[in-house]
Amino acid sequence: MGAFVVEANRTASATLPVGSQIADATRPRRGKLYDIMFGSEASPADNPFLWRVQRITAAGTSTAVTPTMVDPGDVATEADAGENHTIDATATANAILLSVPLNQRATFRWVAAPGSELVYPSTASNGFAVYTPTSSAVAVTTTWFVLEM
Amino acid sequence: MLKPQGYATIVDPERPLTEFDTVQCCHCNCVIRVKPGTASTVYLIFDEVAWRWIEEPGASCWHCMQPVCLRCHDLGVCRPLERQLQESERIGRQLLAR
Repeated sequence: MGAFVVEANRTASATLPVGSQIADATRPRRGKLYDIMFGSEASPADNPFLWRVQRITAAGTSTAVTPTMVDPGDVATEADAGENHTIDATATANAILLSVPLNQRATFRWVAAPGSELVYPSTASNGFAVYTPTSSAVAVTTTWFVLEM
Repeated sequence: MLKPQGYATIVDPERPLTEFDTVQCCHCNCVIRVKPGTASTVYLIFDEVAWRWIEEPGASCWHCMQPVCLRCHDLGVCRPLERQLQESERIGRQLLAR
């Protein structure tokens, strides 16, 4: 059991995720998201964004991201992460865990109290994805920390 | 609020720092923004059509004795998060065993 961090980037899309995190398909383990940040590194502008964290049951097609262990001494995570999706993840309807309106020039951060993390089950390919259903086509970044059980 | 279940900040270079506490729905695990000073009895829900925050009375599950989101409140049944996770994991194990 260890904590890891994932950073996902893309040019914001209203239909495709910025990034996703799922349990491994053959060795699934439960994960608890305890810290997440959203923002845009593009030139500051006043564009409305809506950021969403939503449960998914399949990751779609994306560029693989290797999670970085917070403690390098921990065993590497089994979880799979991706960014810059070209095919949408399979999102669970109405399973929106976090929804945040944000100005493009603003940065958002949410931290969970111990015991109140966003949890995904140890079910193959289950996890969550970060969407920007309202966005402008600028570079965006999301970073999240997950504690793998 | 006492014992918030989450804490959020919004840093905007042209506005003062925005901070707020959040609670968790004990059924679906979603994050709920609460109005300060209301002991999580007033939720701040974002209206995507009007593009503004609106106040709604909070809700709780009287079985779990924890806050729930308004969607889970409308469902009217107690489906604790842990039970949902275990059910999903049980189905997943059955599929992997095939």
